[in-house]
Formats: sequence, C-alpha cells, structure tokens
Amino acid sequence: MRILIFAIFWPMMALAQPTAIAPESVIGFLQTDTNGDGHEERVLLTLSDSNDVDLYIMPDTGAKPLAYVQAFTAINNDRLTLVAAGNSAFDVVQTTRHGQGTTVFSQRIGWVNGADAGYFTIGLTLRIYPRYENASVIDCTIDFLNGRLETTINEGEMQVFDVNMAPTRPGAPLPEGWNELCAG
Amino acid sequence: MRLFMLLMLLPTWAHAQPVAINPASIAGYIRADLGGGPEPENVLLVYDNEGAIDLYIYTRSLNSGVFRAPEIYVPGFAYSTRTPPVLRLLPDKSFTVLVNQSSGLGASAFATRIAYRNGAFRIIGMLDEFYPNTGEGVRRCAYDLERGLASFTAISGEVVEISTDVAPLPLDGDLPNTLTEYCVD
Repeated sequence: MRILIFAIFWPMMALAQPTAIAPESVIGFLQTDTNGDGHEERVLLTLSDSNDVDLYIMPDTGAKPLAYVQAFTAINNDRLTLVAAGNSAFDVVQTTRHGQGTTVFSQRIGWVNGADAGYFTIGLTLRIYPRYENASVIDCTIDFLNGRLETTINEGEMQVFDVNMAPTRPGAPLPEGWNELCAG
Repeated sequence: MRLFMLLMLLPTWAHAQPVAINPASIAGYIRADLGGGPEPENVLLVYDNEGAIDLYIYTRSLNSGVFRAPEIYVPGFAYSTRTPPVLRLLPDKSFTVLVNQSSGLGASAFATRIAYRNGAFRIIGMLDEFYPNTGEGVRRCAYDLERGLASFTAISGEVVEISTDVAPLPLDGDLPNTLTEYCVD
C-alpha cells in the first residue's frame, strides 16, 4: 500500500518547486520589476551540488514563485550575474573563461503578454573576446520579439538581419540555429 | 529521560543557524571580494517569520560543487517590516546594510557598515537618521568606529562631534549607551 501511494505521489514530488533551500546555495539575486506591473520581483539563482543553477522569480510579497526553472543552466568555472534590463526584463549573464578567450552569454528573460502570457527568453547576446590578437571579436544579439539580429565583428559596422525565431520558455532549448547565426 | 534530553538540547536548537530557508524570505544578496579569504564572500539577508533580518556571510566557490554551511550567521541583525533592506558594496571592500522604516512620527533610516578587520567581520560604522513628519529637519547620528569619531546632528541643526574609544564591534554587538545617549532629538 505504501509503495502504491509513493508511486502515485512521486511524480508530483519530482515536479514540485522547492519551498526550502540551503542559504549557502544562493549565488544570485536581483530585485527589479520583471513584468511591468510596477512591483519589484525578486530574481534568485541557486546552485545545486551538481552545479546546476535553478532560477526563481518571486513576487514582492507572497511565497509562491511566479516562475521556477530547475536546471536553468549549469556552471563550471563560470561567473553568473543578474542585471536589470528595462522595466519588464532582466539578463542572466554567464561569463566563461577558456583557452580561446572569454565568452559572455546573456539570456534576456521578460514577461510576454498574450494568450500564453508568462516569462519567456526574449533575447540572447553572445560576445566572444578571443585570446589572440588576430582573431575576431564577435558581438551578436538576437531580439526574438522584434525578429532582429544584430552582429558586429571586430567593432566594425553593425549588420542587421531579420530572423524568425519565437521566444522560448526559460530553461527550454534555445531556438534552433541561433548559435550558427551568431557565431557562424 | 527523553524529555530531559530534549530540554538539554533546546537552547542549542534555538541558536542554530537554519539549514533551509524559504526562497521567498531572501531580502538581499551580494557576492564580492571582501578580503576575508581567497574566495569572494557571499552576503545574504533573510527575513525571519517575525520581520527580523538575519545576516549570513559565507564563502563558496561557484565551481566547487560543495556545500558548506555559512561561516557567519547573525539572527536578528536588523529589523525592517515595510521596505526591503538595501545591501551596498563600497569601494574599500566594506558593505552597508540599510533599512528604512516609517511611522506616524516620521521616517528613519539605519545603516550598518561592515568590513573584514583583524581576522573577523566587524561593524565599523553606523548611521542613524530620523526625518520627522513635521519637516523640521533631520536628526542624524553617525559613528565611525575605525577613526573613533561620532557626530550628532540635532533636528535644530546643532552639531556635536566627539571622539570615542569604542572599537569596531562584533556583528552581534551594539553601541554602548554612553555613546548613543548623545543621539537625541
């Protein structure tokens, strides 16, 4: 009987958002209006033992997260910061140093109204600062809401392209082909 | 026997730092090199259930994947029931915890400045301000415990400056009454 009850409830437990976290697991915090409602939500990043980073968006009052994304990203020798971006979005900026240089990857998360209203990844920015002088510096930004891609190489002229990529939910796989468009 | 053991353990439990907190209770966080060790420190402010703000300071490498309990835990470090506290990093590797309160009489702001000094995190300064609703002025009491200076500004505008030998305080310490008695309206 106990096994049966456990079997019924286990999937619910697995999907439930945590109501308690270890204090030392907090690695990021930002208080800003993330959805344009005039209230400042609290964005929280926590780190698990397996180096997965969970994302919470908490209301200004109340205990139930507006959004919770388990394993939003993973870090390994990276720096992760939260930056406010206007009055209805924020950036999760991940800076990675590696043998070829430094990569800054920023995901812009914001509130999108409509039938499926909620938080979406509405933009991406990729900057690659190569270690070697003769290599190209790449700066690429995709704005999913306006279907616009801006790219600059070696601080030269900005090139703008139209793209057709729908925003995805935070933590979901990014739109296919974005990496090729930017880094390619 | 069980009751006896429970009674023996109660005081320890009462002061133990929480192993788990509600994500909704987090009120502030910064990560910065505060000089306490080779790794940057993490400073966390957490509301308890009664409006008090607990202070945690811990080091944790972002790529170690190892949990360590916070090295410093100060329950009831500050109180702010209305507006969230503000954590601010200063260029000299110190930081302030600012809380604002308002009442029928006026608004008050209380800032505590903390820095790593002589092997420990200590309170090196405090600022206590009160703005009465009458708009008459401000009562300001500033304590610089590193330089041994205190400055008191009465609502009338009168300023009194004194030198003090009160050293930087432990994080759960408080200013002696002999110093705060100058802080009057």
